[in-house]
Amino acid sequence: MTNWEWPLVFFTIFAQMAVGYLVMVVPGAAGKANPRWTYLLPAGILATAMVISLGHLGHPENAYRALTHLASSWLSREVLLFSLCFLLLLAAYLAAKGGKQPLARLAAVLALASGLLGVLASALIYVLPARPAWYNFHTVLTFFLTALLLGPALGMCLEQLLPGLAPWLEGGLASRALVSLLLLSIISSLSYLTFLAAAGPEARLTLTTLLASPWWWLRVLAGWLAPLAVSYQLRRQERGSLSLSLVLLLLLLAGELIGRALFYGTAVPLAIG
Amino acid sequence: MAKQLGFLVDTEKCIGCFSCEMACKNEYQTEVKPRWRRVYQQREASLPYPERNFMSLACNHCADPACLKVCPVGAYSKREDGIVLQDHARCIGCRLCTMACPYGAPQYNEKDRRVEKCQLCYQKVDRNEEPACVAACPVGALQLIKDLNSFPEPGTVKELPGFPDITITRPSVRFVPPRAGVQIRRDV
Amino acid sequence: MAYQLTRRSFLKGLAAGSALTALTAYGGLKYAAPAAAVEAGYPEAGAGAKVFRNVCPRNCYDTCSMLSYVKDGVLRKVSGDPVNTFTNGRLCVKGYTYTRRVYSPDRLKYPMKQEPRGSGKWQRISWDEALEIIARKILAIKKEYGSTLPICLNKYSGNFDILHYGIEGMMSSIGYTTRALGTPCWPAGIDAQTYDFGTLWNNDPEDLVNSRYIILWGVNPAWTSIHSMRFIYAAREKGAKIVAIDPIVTQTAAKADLYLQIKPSTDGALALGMARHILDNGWVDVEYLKANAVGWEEFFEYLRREVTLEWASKTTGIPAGVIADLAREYATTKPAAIWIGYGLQRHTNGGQNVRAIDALAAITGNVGKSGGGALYGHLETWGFNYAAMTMPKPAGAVGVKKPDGTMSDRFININNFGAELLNTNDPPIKMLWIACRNPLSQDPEPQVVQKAFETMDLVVTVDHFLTRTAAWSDIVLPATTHFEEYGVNASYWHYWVGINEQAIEPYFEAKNDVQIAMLLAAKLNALEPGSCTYPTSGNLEEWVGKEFNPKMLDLLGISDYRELKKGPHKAKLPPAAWADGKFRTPSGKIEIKSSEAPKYGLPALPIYVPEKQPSPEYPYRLFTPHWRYGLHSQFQNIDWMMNVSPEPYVEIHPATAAAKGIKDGDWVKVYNEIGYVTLKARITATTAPEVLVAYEAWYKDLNYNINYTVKAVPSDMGKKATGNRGLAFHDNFVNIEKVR
Repeated sequence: MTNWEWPLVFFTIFAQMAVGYLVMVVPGAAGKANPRWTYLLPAGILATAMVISLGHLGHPENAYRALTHLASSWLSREVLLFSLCFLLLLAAYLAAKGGKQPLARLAAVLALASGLLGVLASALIYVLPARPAWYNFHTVLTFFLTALLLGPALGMCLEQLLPGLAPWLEGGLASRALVSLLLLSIISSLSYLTFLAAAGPEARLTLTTLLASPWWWLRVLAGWLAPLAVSYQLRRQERGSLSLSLVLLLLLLAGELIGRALFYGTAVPLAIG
Repeated sequence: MAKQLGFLVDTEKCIGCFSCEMACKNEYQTEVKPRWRRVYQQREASLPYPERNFMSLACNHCADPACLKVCPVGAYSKREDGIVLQDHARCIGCRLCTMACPYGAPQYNEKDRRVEKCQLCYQKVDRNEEPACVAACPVGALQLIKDLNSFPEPGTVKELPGFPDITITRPSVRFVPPRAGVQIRRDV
Repeated sequence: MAYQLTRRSFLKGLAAGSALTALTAYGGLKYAAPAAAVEAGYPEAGAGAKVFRNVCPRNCYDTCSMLSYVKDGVLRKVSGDPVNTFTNGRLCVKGYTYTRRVYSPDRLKYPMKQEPRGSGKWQRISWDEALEIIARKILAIKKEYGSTLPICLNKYSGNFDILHYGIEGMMSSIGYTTRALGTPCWPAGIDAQTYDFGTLWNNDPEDLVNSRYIILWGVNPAWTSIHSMRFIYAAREKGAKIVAIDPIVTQTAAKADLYLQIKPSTDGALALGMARHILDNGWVDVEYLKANAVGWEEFFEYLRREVTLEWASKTTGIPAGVIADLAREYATTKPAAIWIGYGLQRHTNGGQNVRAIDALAAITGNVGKSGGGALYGHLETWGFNYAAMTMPKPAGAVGVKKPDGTMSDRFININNFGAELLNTNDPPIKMLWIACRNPLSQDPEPQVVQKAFETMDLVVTVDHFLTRTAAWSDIVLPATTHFEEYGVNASYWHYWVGINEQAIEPYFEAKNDVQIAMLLAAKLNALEPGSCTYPTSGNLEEWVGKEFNPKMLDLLGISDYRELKKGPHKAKLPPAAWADGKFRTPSGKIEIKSSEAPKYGLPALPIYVPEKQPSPEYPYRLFTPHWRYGLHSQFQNIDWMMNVSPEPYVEIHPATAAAKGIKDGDWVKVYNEIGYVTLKARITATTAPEVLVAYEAWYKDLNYNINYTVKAVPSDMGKKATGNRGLAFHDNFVNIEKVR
């Protein structure tokens, strides 16, 4: 099988978590209170992710060159977009600290936009005809689902610690949204598996490898089934629950990390001969 | 492009001796793992009857190279004669080209921590010499096509069973398909 | 002053950034501007190098003329020498790995000894110490047994350069010794051609282009003589038909116009069936036979009496109609050539089968013709002086007494080495010198060879790597590769002779075998003056000169051997062997009825001798042929080769696999009563249901040796020309089962 690509696994998961967090937090909290948790935290997560991503390069000292082929390379564009997102978040933080809330809000919104575009670019990097298992919409969908699952999950934890951070995260709304997204995730994965079965011998090999791998089943359990149960429990908590939120976040993280590793590790290149 | 150099792989003549693959390694004294030219055996099931058939592939210097497109540092460029050249020092080892190429031509060198691939012996080409692989084939099954744009085609095909989809990157390679002899076997 | 991020400046920058992003997201520019100048960073290894002439000295038909490229004393790359029109400036997959062989981290650098033998506890010693141990042992043996007969040499084809016969010379120079006599590879066929023609002599392979019909019989040049394929293809382009006869669909068979899957070891029956059909239809060249052959009338009587197409078909498994067509085509297409392979004669009836094919060529008048012939091999360009080999015995040397009173070396059978070592007495064998050979890897029944090693006092092996044999030796001496020494090489197939120049200094403390002999001589004489007659000094380039006699110079069309430095020369031989009709048999003619064969207990006529049959317990025949990645135990262990060919496998027919529940990639055990190997299964219909194929090779760290299952079954011939019968490697019967 191909490389498990751990630096990329951690990079994509955490970058997507940061963007997903922005989705949850920016509409409600940007330009209001908590600049540290609204801007600096996701900026920090994003920056950490990008530093980790250097680990997948042979020559990370020359990583700056990755900005030079925006003309056609989605990787170049991803680097630019996430860099912009980070800088904009810093700018938002500075603006908020300087009391310029409308400016901060603008920067945050732009940061969210470039973050989302960054996730899109991340996914499009892998939509390659040479890797049949990746060459479909599901790649894009899972990258966004990662963001939309992990971001709010993180937000829900923080909401318990810092009430008012994102008030609408409290209560049933967030957990209901999570349940829907989890179900969407499961359904789209099921359809993806059937797609793999019909997309040629390389894709079929990915399918059989996945189904035969205990890691896949762990991912199903930790990443979908257990979170579904926990989300259901959470729904019944009027004021939310820190411990449940924490458990949910950890389960989702585990599931997404394993799932991403499987994404990288089970893709079979086009066969020759 | 002014012209497009390419390879003619005559699978009728090819005896799967692997001289081309090893001559390439010898010419550049490459590291152990990277195989800039690779000889693939065709699956027996795809042949009309059991026999040993091979396809020798290096970089196909495609008309629409995936490596060039996806490289974040723009390390690849396409020469006037169609060679897809890599500025080796520029590579940062992200390996995206190794995932994007349908033919496995770019390969990661763990020692150098950069990706490398067949450069169609551009120094030799510039001196009007044959690439090392072509020069090493004992039966002339591997030839350099001087210009694909004006290559007389009879008897050649653009793909063979087991050759990845040519519409992805439009590889600059042509094949002579294997010819069937007569077999009198005892298991039929 | 604090920087004030004004809204305006911020927005400006953002706009610019967005515009850029929007523009580039469109993906307008197709090609990036070249980021560097012409030099992309892929330097040619041979740039600025000095070029030397070399010859690949391996046991191979093609014996390629090579060029080596040296810069700063380091071999940078190799290439073929375009002067040689047979090898045509090309090497092979093995030859192109030579830099990795010369500089392999596994290569032996220093003399080493290990105590106890086989423990792996190797200790580096100096040459002086090594030779001291060896010399003292030689002298001690001489004292104890009164002769050097307990010292045995096993040397063969690891390096076929002429100066390497100095190893035999070294043995001669210390006294009468025991020699492993014979050759494992090709003796049955040699004897067959010796009985028929007087000796083996193939047409110039470059002459194959003139053939209109080529039968590649039990030979696989696509893997083992790749440079010949060009000529076979050229013949086809001129209209020739290429026929391959082989028990399995080899690489060559895959390229033939007609492939016949013959039952293993029944080639003689096919040839005889064809001969009968040719006889019946009057396609015999009677005029040629009358002028050039004896015994053909009795041969025809035999054919009429004992051979029919139906019998041939039943024996060989080839339909009678096909045999008839083949006979007609071969007999009526002129000229027609048959290339007889060495695999064909590795059977108990191998020699007899070759004789039948020789007869086929003779009766159709294809012998002595350009584009014709019964091609097997030749030794016409090997007429050197063998000065390095010819050394007088020291005074007072004692050997084996011959009937005429003179003394000689003692000879044991190289093809039953282990057993012979164990069973030789008066005096027993106590010391081994092994060079250019790897018996623990290549011999049949290596288990017995291993056992025999245990009875030795001292085993010395000279090699490049810690081979299986080296690993079970007491002392291992590092040998030079052919780039590090002078030499001269001929081929047993093509007609070229080339000089091998020294291109680089010896690797660490490696020494050439002749240099080792010189050092040993000095050491022996220092301990006991007069105990060794080998010269103690000499320049190897001069020694090359000493190998040339007027006949060889004339044959090559040169007046001085140094002319070979400008390029190899082709021998001035007629392209068609035996064109002059001067056969070297006792009668001077082709002896279809051989006068010599009965002296060796063999039939006078090329009658059919039935093939060896499997037992019910071991019903599958295991072929162990040669393939492209290795040459016996050489090359496969090189890192570039391991990368391309990482593991062994056994080829199994789908029907057999199904019957045994084996799937592609399964681990299987191939075994018989003497041993077994476990390896991966590869399902392919290129083999026959009752035939398994596993290629012989040494994979460095793998405990894989297909010879564990190979018994030392002799082939029928070989004693006359090579001193001992050959080995029926392919008459090896096994069973197979899935493991794990």
